[in-house]
Amino acid sequence: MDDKFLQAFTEVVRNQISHRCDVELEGVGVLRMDHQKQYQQQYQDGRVVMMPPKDTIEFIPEGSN
Amino acid sequence: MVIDKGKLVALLADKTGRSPEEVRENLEALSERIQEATESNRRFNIDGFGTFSKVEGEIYFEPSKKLQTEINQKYAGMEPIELMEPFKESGAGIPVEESETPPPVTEDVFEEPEFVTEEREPRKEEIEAEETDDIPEKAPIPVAEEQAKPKQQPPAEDAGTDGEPREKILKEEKNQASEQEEEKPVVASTGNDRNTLGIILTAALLLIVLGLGAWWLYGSDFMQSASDNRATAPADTTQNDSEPVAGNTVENDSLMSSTAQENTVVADSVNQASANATPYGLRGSYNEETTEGYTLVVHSFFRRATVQSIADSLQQQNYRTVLFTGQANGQTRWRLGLGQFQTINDAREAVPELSEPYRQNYFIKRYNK
Repeated sequence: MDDKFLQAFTEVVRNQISHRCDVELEGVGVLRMDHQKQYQQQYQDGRVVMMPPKDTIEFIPEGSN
Repeated sequence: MVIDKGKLVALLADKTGRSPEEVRENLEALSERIQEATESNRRFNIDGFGTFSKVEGEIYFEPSKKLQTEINQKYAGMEPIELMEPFKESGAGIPVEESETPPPVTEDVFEEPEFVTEEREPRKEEIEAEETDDIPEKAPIPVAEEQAKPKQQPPAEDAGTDGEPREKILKEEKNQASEQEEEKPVVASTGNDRNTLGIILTAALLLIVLGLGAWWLYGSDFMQSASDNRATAPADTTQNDSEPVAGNTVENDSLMSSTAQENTVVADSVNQASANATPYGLRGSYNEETTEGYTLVVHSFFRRATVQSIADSLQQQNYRTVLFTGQANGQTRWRLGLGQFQTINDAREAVPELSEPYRQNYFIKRYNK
């Protein structure tokens, strides 16, 4: 396991997650994309803000399901 | 789709050019090192990827900022949009309610409170009054106004009920008294009687004024000229009515070919209306007359050619496509939107018409020509 392998590992996992695929790391867990839709947030002072959507990485450790 | 160990080995072998056996050994070694590090409460970091650690007995993964940015590249540069300004200039706002939103995320708001307030002014330019239609009702300001009213209104009400009406009544009664040459005391009446009398007198005065005005108009040349111009009125009316109508072009074209000159004006206006028809919508072709509106952004790329090719294919599916640029991390991105909508609500209502995967993967963006 060298730097080249780790670099390739990073790129492959990132690409698969970007394509909404769940990546399973045996003995570690599953990496997947979590999409949060945009939503409105109302404040006490009357301000209403539309929060933008975003994609984040979710990690589910093995054995937690 | 799940990328299990076998698929991951194949992908890595393809990427590195190494044999699958060698990749499998490397991958197993990587998993073992992560497990060993986390079991001994150490952190295992992979540059550009993230850090594995152990929190409360479970493996915890914290992605690096680089990875987070790359995963979220589609929405890079998106900022919160202020739909409604605060009622009063108070301190930092405290979130009290979320509306119509799937994921209950509040962390972002707490993380970026100054983010919202600092960029309030630019957002004012983006937001129009129509967007307030989307805003949930029952804002706190009516309460504040109601609380303020009782403090100011009592003196105003006293002045209003005892002010003008009483003076009018006194004047009228004085006039009556002088006509009858009798001295009578001012009759004390209730506030309701005074108000009713005042309304009746005002209405009578208005009727007299209107009657005099009508009589003057009837006697003057105005009515004559109006009747002379009446012949042109229907054409103008029809022209105004026809503007928003779409789909009547054929009928009006036939009218144009068979009738006189005044119908030509009407038909021309209808043709113009049909050309400008459907300024908004999800389907059809892009309407350049619509200078601003909302669209459903479904793609974001660095290269315009990429977006253009996708736009062409979507146009063949009868989607109305909108291309525009946006800045993200100092770089220009080409974004592809579907549909032109007048309001955010219109855009939301069109979402069910989107095909997959766009239905679950979009955001609403305002655009300006």
